[in-house]
Amino acid sequence: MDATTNQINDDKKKEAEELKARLNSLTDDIVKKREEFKKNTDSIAEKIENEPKIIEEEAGEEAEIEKMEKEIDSESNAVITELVDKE
Amino acid sequence: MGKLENFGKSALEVGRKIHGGAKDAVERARMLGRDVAQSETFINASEVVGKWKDQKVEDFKDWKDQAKDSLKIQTVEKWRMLTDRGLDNCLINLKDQDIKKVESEMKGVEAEIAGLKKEEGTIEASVDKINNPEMKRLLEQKTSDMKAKLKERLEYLEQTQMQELRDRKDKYLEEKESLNGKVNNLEENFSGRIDGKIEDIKNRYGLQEKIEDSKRLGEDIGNLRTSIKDSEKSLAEDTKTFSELRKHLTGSDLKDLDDMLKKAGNELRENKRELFRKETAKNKLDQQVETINRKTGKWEKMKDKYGLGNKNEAASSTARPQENPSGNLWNGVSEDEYVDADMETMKKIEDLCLYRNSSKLQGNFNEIQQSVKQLDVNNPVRKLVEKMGTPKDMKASMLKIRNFVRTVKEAYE
Repeated sequence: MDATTNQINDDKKKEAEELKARLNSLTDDIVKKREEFKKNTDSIAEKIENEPKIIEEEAGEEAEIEKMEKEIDSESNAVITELVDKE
Repeated sequence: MGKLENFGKSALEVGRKIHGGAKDAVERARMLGRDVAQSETFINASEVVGKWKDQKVEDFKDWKDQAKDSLKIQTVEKWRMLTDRGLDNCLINLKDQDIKKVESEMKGVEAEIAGLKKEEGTIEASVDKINNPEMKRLLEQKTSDMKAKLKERLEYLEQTQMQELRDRKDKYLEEKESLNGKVNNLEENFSGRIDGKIEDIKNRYGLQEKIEDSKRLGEDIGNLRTSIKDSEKSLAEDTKTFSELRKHLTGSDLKDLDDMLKKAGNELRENKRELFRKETAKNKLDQQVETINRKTGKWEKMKDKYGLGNKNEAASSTARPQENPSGNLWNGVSEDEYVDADMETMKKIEDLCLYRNSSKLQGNFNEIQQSVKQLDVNNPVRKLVEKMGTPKDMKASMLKIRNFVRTVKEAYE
């Protein structure tokens, strides 16, 4: 093995070490990012799971609106009837 | 002969004058007699009251029919008959018409009183002109009966009929005020309750928190996606470097790098799964926000349907600009001028809202959007229209704006 070959091997080894360092850093960064964002997701996901079943209650709104419309009708009738009775 | 002739001429002249005065007085008396004769038909008080009652029944027949019919119509139409003063058949407007009718009748009676008084004065003045005592006595005798009837008619008009009309007017005003109060209470009650329902839904399901969580997740998703792309790029470059290096490497270096690349790849895949979890959570949150908005939207729609939008907001606002620290001027304009300018613009906006013809809706709405820019930045009408953007239901929005303008105008007045 001549001096040139030895030099090349040393360079490649050095390159391999640098690559290892980069890969380590990259992996750490990937894990760190995930952990960082995971916190938000977990707390929000937990909240979503504990939510009351909104969609199931959809029909309740219609019934309440209908009930209020009946009240409006009844209150309007009372005012109109009172007016007519006065005449 | 000359003296006798002159005396004769003078006597003739005096006679002519007496005859002329008497003729005039007789003519006046004749005219008075005609008026009194016409008035006699009304003098019987019971007859007059009877006629008045008939008229009253006739006047209110339409009103009562409309009021009764309104009980059978749809709730929303009935509500509008009570609350929408822009409608001809709005019951409050009909009360206004009643008031105007009475006022018109009062003017008629006042004119009749003034006419009769003038005529009475003219007759007396004509009788006063007569110098001949005998002629004067005869004329006074002839007109005394007529004057008595005239006096009776005047007393009836002044004391009975005018009082009845005043009582009627007071009654209508009282009824209008009472109706206004009732309608305002109803509007405030239902508007407040609907607002309460909307707030309750928002609080019950934590709408604001969900919106904020979704926003936070959205930001996280964006950042994580960028991070993944960057990592993918780095990993691809490192993989390429490793491919070039591997023929020069042996033993543990080769194995270590191979393991490290696999590990980085696995962690990256885990981040992609995390991204997917975040996107799923955001979708779920957004769906919940949408559902909550749909629920509140139903109440908002009801508010629009019944023209109850922003009743409370408008009622609670004085809508008057605050005085600036330097005194009673606002941008160099007195507060009254300032308010007048806003009132004029609001009147224009109110008129624009009245055109419900569908072909004009878009054009009028565009003009309303332009007009609000002339209003003070704190004017609630301006805020409402600007917040509205371009509404889906243009007709309902026009109604909402008009009701709101009316409330703000009342606050300004």
